Amino acid sequence: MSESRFAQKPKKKREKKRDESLEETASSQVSPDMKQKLDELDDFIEGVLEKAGEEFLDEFRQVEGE
Amino acid sequence: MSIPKVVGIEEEYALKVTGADRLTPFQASSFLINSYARAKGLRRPGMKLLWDYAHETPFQDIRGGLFSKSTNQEIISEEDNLRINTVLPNGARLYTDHAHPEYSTAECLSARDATACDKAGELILLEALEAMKEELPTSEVSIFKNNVDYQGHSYGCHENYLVDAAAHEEYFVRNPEKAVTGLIPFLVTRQVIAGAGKIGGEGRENGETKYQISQRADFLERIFGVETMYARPIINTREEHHADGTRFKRLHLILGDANMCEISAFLKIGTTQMVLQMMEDDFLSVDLALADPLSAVKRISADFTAPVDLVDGRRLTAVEIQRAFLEMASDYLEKGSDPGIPEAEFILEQWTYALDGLEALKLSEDLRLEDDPLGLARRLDWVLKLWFITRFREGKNRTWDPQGLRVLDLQYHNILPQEGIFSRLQRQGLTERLLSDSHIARFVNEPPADTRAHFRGKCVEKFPQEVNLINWEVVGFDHGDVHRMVPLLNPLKGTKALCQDILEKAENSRELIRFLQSGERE
Repeated sequence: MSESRFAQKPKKKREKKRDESLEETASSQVSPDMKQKLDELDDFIEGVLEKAGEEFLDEFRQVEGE
Repeated sequence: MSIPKVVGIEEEYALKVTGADRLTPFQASSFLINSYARAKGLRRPGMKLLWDYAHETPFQDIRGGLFSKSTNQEIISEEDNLRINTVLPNGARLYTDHAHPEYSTAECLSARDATACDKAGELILLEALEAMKEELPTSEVSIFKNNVDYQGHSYGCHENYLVDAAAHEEYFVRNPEKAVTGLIPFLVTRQVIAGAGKIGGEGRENGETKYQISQRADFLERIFGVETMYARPIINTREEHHADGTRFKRLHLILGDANMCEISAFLKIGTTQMVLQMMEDDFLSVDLALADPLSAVKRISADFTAPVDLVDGRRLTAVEIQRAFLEMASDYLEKGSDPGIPEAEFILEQWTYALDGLEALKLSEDLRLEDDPLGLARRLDWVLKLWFITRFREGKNRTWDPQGLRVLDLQYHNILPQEGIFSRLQRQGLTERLLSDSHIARFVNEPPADTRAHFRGKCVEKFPQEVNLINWEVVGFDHGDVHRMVPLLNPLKGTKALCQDILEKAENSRELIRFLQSGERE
């Protein structure tokens, strides 16, 4: 077991760098590549809902598990 | 005195069965399991690989003598045993539990391996579905890794941790108030990093909730208890340890959600390992006892920023309570305590990142994800689910329609790549990965090397014709004139390092037992 595991207390990094990978998805400045990905995702989700139909929730009924 | 935190995850999957065959969920589940077993060569003529129920005592309580039901176990026929059970060469058990296909991972030492084994279970269920479709082409089955059906039913994702017997006795039998002070506040608040997210609520407290963090919170009714299908407890006190009970006990947790995000699953397991280790070393020094843990678990699930009451009069948020445990864990490592937990520092780094992210996370009153500066929507299930729901609603100015959103919620957990929303998000690179595909794929066929699962899995792989009875703590061989049982009472033995040589050298199980008896392994 290496000592390095215990050598350093994890530092609280209150000023962490913003993770902009999904933030880009909310902005109007999305890259063409990301825009295509998101358009495909939106189409996929719309398709999921459409394909499920109104009976989906009824058909999903389960029995109690542990 | 702390011991390594061996861990196993039990995942009850949901099935949606349609198609011309009109299979019941129980039939579909059993078909799936046997199709997979046949595809893996575990149902050849003459094979009789039975699950040994001899060590299961579901109604016996660790606190002694509290039998809520008859303990007379039904005798299961061999035919039924094979119909609902299979043990796999990776050391895991795949079986039917109350019409749910359940995948119980092999025992793992690290949170990373446990997460990988849990994800390998998804691949195994998909392979099982492929095998089933070859045998029953008209079947239409979808498989979901979640915990709620939106019709009042819940099914579990249970966690099992190896705990030192003396500490277990002290915290859960002799002085359970110590668990209430030290462990319960951690478990109640852990959902902020490990919850799977859920549209709406159930029951009195959360019936009007639009979105909540945890799938299981509304179903918790006790702090301690032996039941799992009603009056569900935070800590299950079933007296069933699957090991030498004089040295080892099992902590059986049933409050957690099934995770799709690797980081959520890793945090759920890794932080729990850390806190349990500190508990065993008497390092849970800060009293964070909650005034009402069962109300708190529901309140936090409905609003992770809501403060909850402590016994000492303070009001703290879930993130503040989690932060207190993180600081204790940091001190624990700083003082040079050997946690024996693989990647302990990495667990704390990820924990810190998640809590920092939650402190900065902003939701609108209408539950839009307004600001997520640390990108938790790439890492934690409940935030990711809320992110795509926000996107879906805003795309066409939709109102909060719970019926439609529930469908999307369920489809997030659909493990079929062509149908599942999480699967799609991951394929598009919109989630943060912790594991490589090869790490997960390895555990489809290989047992973890560093626990007794190695011995079990390799026996199934190498001697499937000879294994007769098997469970977590024993491998039994049918030698015709006599049945020979190899006990696996220490989860830390039977490892690859200890057994690889004899397992490779033995040409049959008689030879293997001869090697064991002659002391050719520890």
